[in-house]
Amino acid sequence: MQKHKASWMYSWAACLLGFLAVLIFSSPGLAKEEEVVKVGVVAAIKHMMGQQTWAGAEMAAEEINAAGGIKVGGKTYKIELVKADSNEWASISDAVGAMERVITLDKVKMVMGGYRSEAVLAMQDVAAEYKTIYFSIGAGHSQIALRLVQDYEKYKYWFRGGKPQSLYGGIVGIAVVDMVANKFKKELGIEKPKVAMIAEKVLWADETLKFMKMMCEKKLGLEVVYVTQPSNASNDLRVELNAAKASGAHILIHLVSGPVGVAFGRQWGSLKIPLAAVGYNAEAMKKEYWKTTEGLCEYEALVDYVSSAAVNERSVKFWKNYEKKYNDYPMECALSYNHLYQWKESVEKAGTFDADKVIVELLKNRFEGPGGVYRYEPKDAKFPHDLVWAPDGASTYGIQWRKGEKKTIWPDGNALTWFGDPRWKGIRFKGTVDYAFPPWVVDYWKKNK
Amino acid sequence: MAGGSDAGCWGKFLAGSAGGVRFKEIGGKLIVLFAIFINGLLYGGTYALLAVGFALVFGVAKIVNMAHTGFYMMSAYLIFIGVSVLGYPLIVAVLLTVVGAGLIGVIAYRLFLDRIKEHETAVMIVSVGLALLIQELLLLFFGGHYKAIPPFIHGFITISDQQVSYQSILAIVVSAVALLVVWFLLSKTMLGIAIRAAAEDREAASLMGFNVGRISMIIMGISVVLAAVASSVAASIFTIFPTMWLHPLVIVLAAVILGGLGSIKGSVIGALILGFAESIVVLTVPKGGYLGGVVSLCIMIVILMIRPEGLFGITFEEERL
Repeated sequence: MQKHKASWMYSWAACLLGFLAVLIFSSPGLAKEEEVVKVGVVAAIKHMMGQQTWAGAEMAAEEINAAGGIKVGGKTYKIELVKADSNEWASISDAVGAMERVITLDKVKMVMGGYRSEAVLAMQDVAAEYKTIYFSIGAGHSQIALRLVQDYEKYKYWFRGGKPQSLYGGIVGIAVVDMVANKFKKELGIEKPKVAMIAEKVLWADETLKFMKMMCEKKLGLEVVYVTQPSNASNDLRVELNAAKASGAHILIHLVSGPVGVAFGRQWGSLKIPLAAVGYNAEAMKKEYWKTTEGLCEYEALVDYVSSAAVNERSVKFWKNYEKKYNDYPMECALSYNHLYQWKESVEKAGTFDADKVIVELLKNRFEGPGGVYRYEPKDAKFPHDLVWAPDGASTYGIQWRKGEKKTIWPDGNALTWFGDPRWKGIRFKGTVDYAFPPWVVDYWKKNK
Repeated sequence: MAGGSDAGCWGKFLAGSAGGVRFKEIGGKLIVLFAIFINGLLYGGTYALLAVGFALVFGVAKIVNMAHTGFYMMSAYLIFIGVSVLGYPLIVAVLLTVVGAGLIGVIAYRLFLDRIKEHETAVMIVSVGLALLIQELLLLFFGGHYKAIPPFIHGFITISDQQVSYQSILAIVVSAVALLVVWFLLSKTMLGIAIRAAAEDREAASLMGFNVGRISMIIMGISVVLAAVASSVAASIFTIFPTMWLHPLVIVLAAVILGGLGSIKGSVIGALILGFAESIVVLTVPKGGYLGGVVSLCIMIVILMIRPEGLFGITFEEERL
C-alpha cells in the first residue's frame, strides 16, 4: 500500500514537472532568449533638437520591432534604443563623453545624434576611433563630409543624417529669395529689390551667409545692402531689424536658431518691419512657434526639411502619426526615423552587424520616406557620405507660415535656371501654395517705391 | 539620378566663398543716433534695475549674490506660468510674481545664505549653486524650449523712421520709475536710513539698535523684487530660456564693478554706460554685433585700469547714494 502510494506520488510529480516544462519552453520569451541590438541616441535631450531625434528614432524602432525586428543570420533582433544627453549646446566634451559611454559601456552597434556642427566634428572622431556607424542628425557644415576626403578609411563610419548639408539649404533659400524678388517685380514694380541679411555668429550660419550673399549678388543680381551677425545667445533683434529697414532693403534673409530665432519672429511681426522675411529659422519649424510668437510669424518664409505636402506615401503617414503622437511638427532631427530604417535594411542585406560590411550596403541603400529619397554620396564624391540632394534624393522645401500652419511654397514647379539645374522643373507636390506677401510689406512699398 | 550629380554646380561657389563677407555701413544717419538712444536706454534701464539690486545686497549684507540674475530668470518663468499655464491676465501674473519672487528671495536668503554669510567665498559658491539649481529645475519642467510672454501693450510707434514698440517705451518708463522708488526708499524713509547705516558700518549700525540681520533679509527681498520688475518689463520683449541668466550676470557684474562696488549711483551709471555701449556696437559694427558683451567688458577693464576703485568707488565717496 505504502509502495503504491509513493509510485502514485512520483507519477503526479512527473506530470507536474512535464506540464511546467511545456509551459516554460512553449513561452516565446523563454524558449529562445530574445536577441536585442542596441542603438545609441546621443542628443541634446533637454532641447527640441534632441527630443525630435529621439522621437523619430522611437517611432522607427516601434514600427520595426512590431514588424518582427531585424533579421540577421537566421536570428531576429529587437531594437533597444539607448538615450544619452549630449549637452552639446553647453559642452562639446560632454557630447564626446556621452558618445564614448554608449559605445563602450552600452555596446551599441550604431549611434544617431549631434546637431551642432562643432560637436559633431568631435563626435565623428569618437565614431572613427571605435569603428562605429554614426549618423549625425541635423549638423549641416560641409567640413564634416570633407574629412572623409582627407582620410576616408578613418572617417567612413560617419553618415550625414537628418538633412543635406547647409549649403543645399542655402540653394533652396535662394530659390525662395528669387521667387520673392520676382513677386516684387511683378506686383510692386520694383525691378531689383535689395537684400539685408541677419545671421547668428555660429559655424553653419557663417558658411551659409557667405554662400547666400554670393549667390544673391552673382546669380540673382540683387544688391546686399546690410549684413549683421548677432550672438547666437542674443534674444533681442529690434536694433538689427530697424537697421535692416534703414538700409532700404526689401528682402530680409535670416539665418538663426535658438533664442534669437524666437526673437526674430516676434519682433519682425510685431514691429511690422517692411521686409519680406526669408531664411532658415530652426525655432520656426516647430508647431509651438506660432503660439510662442502669438501668430506674429505669419508670412515668415523658411527653408525646411520635412513637408506636410504629399512628397510620398510614407511622408504623409509619417507627418500625421508624428503630429498625433508628439503634438509637434517633425523637423529634420525627427528624420532619425529614416536612418534607423536605412541601417536596418543595410544590416539585413549585409547579414551582419559588422560596421565595415554595413557601410557598403548603406552606400547602396535607397529609402523613400519623409524628406524624400534618402541615399548617400559615394566614397569618391565631392562630399562623401553626404545625403544626395536632388528631386529624387533628400529634398529641401520652402515653407511659409500661414494662418497657423506651415504651407509648402517650394518646389514650385520651376527649374533653378540661375543655378544651372533644370531637374526641379515640374516638381510641385500636392498641397503646395504660392508665396504671399505680408500685407504691411505691400502697403509700405506702395507708398515708398 | 546618380549620387553626386550636383557636385559640378558646387565647386565654383565654394571656391568663391572663401573670401570674407563684405557689408555696407548704414552709419551717418540721425536714425542711428536715435536708435542708439532708445536701445541704450532700454538695455541700460533693465541692467540698472538688476545692478542696483545686486549692489544693495552687496552693500548691506556683504553678499556677492551670483544667483541675482537667476531670480530675474525665475521671475520671467513665473510670469509665463501665470499667463500661459494658469491663464491669469498679464498684470495679475506680474503682480503675483513680484510679490512671490520677493518672498522666494527672503526664503532663499534664510535657507542658503544667512548661515554662511560670514564666509564670502562660500556665499559666492552657494549662490552660483542656487542659480544652477534654478536653471536645472526650469530645464526639468520646461526643457530647453524657448518661451515668450505677451507684451502689456501691443503695437509700435514710428519715430524718425524707427519702429519702436510701445512695450519698449513702457520698459524704459517702468525702469526709471522703479529706480526713483529705490532712491526715495533709501533717502527719504526710516528703512532707507537703516539700510544706509548698515551699508556704511554694520557694527556701528548694530550698536545703534538696528537689527542688521533683518535689514539684510529685507534688502535681499527688495533686490529680488527689483529683478522681478526688470523681468516683468523686459521678458515681454526678450525670449525666455533656462540659461538666460548668464549674459545679464556678466553685464551686471561689469556694471557694478565699473560703477564702484557697493555704490548704488555707480551701478546705475555703470549699467547705462554698458547698455549704450552694447547698443552702439550692434548699430555701428553690424558684423561684430555678437561682440556687444565683450566690448562692455573691455570698457570695464579700461576704466578699472584708470580708476581701480571704479567710477564711484567708496575711496572717493563717503555716502553711497
